Amino acid sequence: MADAPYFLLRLALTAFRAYLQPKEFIFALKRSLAVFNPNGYGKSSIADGVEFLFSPDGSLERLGQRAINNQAGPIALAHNEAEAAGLEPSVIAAFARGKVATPDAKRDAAAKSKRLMPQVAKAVKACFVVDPIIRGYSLRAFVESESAETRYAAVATWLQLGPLVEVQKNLRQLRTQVKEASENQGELQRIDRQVRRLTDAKVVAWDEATVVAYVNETAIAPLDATLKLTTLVTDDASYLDLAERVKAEEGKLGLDGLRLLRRTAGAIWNKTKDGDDEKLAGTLPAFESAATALIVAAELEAAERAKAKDAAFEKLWQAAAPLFKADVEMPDACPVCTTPLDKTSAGSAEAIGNHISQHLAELAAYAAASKELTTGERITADARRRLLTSLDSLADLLHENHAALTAQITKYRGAVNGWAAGAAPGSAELLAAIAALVGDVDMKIAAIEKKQGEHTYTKAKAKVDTLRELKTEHETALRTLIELTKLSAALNDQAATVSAAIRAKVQSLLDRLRNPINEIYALIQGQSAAIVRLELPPEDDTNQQRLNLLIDFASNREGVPPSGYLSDSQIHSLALSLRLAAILEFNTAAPIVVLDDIVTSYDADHRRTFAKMLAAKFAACQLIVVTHDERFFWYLKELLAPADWHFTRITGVVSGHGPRFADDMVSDDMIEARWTAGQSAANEMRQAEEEWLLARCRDFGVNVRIRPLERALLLRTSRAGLGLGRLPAQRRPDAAAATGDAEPVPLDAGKGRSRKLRQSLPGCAVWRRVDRR
Amino acid sequence: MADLAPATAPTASAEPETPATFLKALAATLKSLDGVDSDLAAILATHVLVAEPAMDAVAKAKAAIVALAQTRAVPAKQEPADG
Repeated sequence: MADAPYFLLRLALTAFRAYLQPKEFIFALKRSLAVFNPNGYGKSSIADGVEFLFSPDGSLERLGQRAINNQAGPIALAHNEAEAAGLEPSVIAAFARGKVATPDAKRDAAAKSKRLMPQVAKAVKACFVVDPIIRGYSLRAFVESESAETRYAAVATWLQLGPLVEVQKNLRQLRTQVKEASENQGELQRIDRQVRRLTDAKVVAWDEATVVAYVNETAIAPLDATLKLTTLVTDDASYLDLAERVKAEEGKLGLDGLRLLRRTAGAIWNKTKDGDDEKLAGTLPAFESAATALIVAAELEAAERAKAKDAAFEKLWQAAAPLFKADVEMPDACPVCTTPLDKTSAGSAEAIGNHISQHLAELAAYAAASKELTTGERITADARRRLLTSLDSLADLLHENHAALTAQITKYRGAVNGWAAGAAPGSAELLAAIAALVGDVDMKIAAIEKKQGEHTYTKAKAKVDTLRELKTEHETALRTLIELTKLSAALNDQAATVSAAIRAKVQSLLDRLRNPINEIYALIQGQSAAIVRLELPPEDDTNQQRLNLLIDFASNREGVPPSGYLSDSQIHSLALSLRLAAILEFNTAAPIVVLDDIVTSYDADHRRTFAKMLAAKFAACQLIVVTHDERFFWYLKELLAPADWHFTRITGVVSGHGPRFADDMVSDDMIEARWTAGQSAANEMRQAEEEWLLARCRDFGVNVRIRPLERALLLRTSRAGLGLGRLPAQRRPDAAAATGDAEPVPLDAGKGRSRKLRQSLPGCAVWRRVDRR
Repeated sequence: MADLAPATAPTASAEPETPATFLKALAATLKSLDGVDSDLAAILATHVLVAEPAMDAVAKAKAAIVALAQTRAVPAKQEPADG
């Protein structure tokens, strides 16, 4: 039975929307269900249950994904008392395919749960080409107010072709954006800015001839006026020549190289003039000067050291010095050995004082000379290190044609390196050679500066290469735009192919729909109903994402928009026909239809023709119809096959329970059970009385409602009484046929027609609660 | 269990063609057409001709097309002659 269609086998709502306590709808015996109740009693919650079961995002369309913009969000899926009642909000469904039942598909409805769609529901949903749920409030806009574009999107959505609409929308955007990209000059403008910067604004926009002229004039001509590029390509003869000259320039010292050589040589030895005075500078004179100063310091230190040979007595002299100062009382004898001072070799205290002062002065001179020598040694070591470094730097810069100077540097460097003390190594030959080198370099620099200034072939080639790269970028940018233009054209072609394929698919679906739509429309509106057409725009129309809904209203009004010619009910019928025809035609794998209040615009005749149409066209389907229109409900009962349909009504909403159905009537056994359990059965008895009264009234086609006790009314002013009294005599209740206890009516039952009613309905103890509404 | 389907119920047709299968077939057809730019068709198949396109599908497709144009704008390097 793999190819048998799916039907709903059972649907159970627990703590979902209006249903707090579990409510199960069984379809095993009767495939279709019709539910009547006044507004606000929870009938739409049944349609909500089906919508939620198949909802991709686990919510309802009118609730949305979060509470915003008048949408309540998924939290409204659950009954507000679910948590207090300890009930887990859920929708459970099972399906039958042929004689095989699927497992129960349970979908949690708690806002915090993941609300994942069960696998069974996914399998059934895959069979819905068209959304099986039609709600009355959503129908009219399609016919009346939607544009051709939004109507196309709506039909595509009905037929679950939303992704195709998305493809067409994306293709349209892509075509626009690629065309814009093919016309975008941004990259070329960037290159123009670059060329302006590189040419000091001499060239304001890229033009190869102008750029070549610029580089010839400003970069190459100062070097060689005869060398001229013709193009910025690497195989240009002049470019190859330029490259050769760069190589040659690299082989010899250019201006920059000469200047570096001059600076390095000058760092070793440099003679400058300050007026008539000549000044020598550089690491070599500094070293020689330091070495000379070191010799002087060493000699001085040696001399002072000799004078201070008795430095061992320094502490004694320092200790004795205060005793022999001129301004203190001199001792008569030696403080150490008690020898009388006049018996000492000095002979007196004054002589001893002079002796001490002299030796202390000699020691101070020695200390100064020693310090001077240490400083000289450090300065000389530093000067030697700097000299060796500068000699190495110069040697590195010298070419083969400076072999003699290189040899002299090597020889002198060895001498300096081995120098330890005394006079600095002789430098006369080296100084002469460096002086000659400096003179030669100065002349060459002057000659080059006079001839070509700062220009070099290396710089010229670098400039040419930069501009050549810019040329490549410019050419690439141009070619990219050309390629983008080609791709834009190819995209238009491919988009047209895609659009044509989608158009063909949509058109084939519309063609399939044409007859069913008109059949359904004619069944509702009568055989004189206008012919309906859904038409795509002509093939050469660039905007294919439109759909025209047209009717042939009259022979001189063919192909006109319906909104200006059809009445409200006709427009409603037209929208309903479109949806139902699509379901009938495409949902054969799961012919389940849910209709939620879809006859609000109809008069009594059209409600009847609509019910007849359901009987004629949807006998093979499974319908769930919920309505607040009791006349329509009666027509359904009258016209649809009782073997296939279960008709029920919601009699009220019970706090802590949810909608109560007529099927849920209180039985004598239930009351008896409460009494047996020692419990009050007052509520059950009241419920039973109400149900009995409502059943009797409905048998006579009277619409009544029960008011709460605190709003009691008398029978004679109630709608039930008045309604029954207006019945033709032949349809009034037969007192003999009525059942129940023969107890008197407890209230004043009124007079005239109401009295007849009272007589015909004995046993009713709840007249005071009959509502005038 | 009784069969809920009435005797007049239409037999369920084969698996309906979903937008995804339709688009997949359309992408394959597009690539196989004579004279079609197959690189461009591949870009459309990857980014646009899909049932659940990315949020930035258009931007990605455009970037891919621009990259393709840039690749084609670079002249092919000449292969060294054999021998």
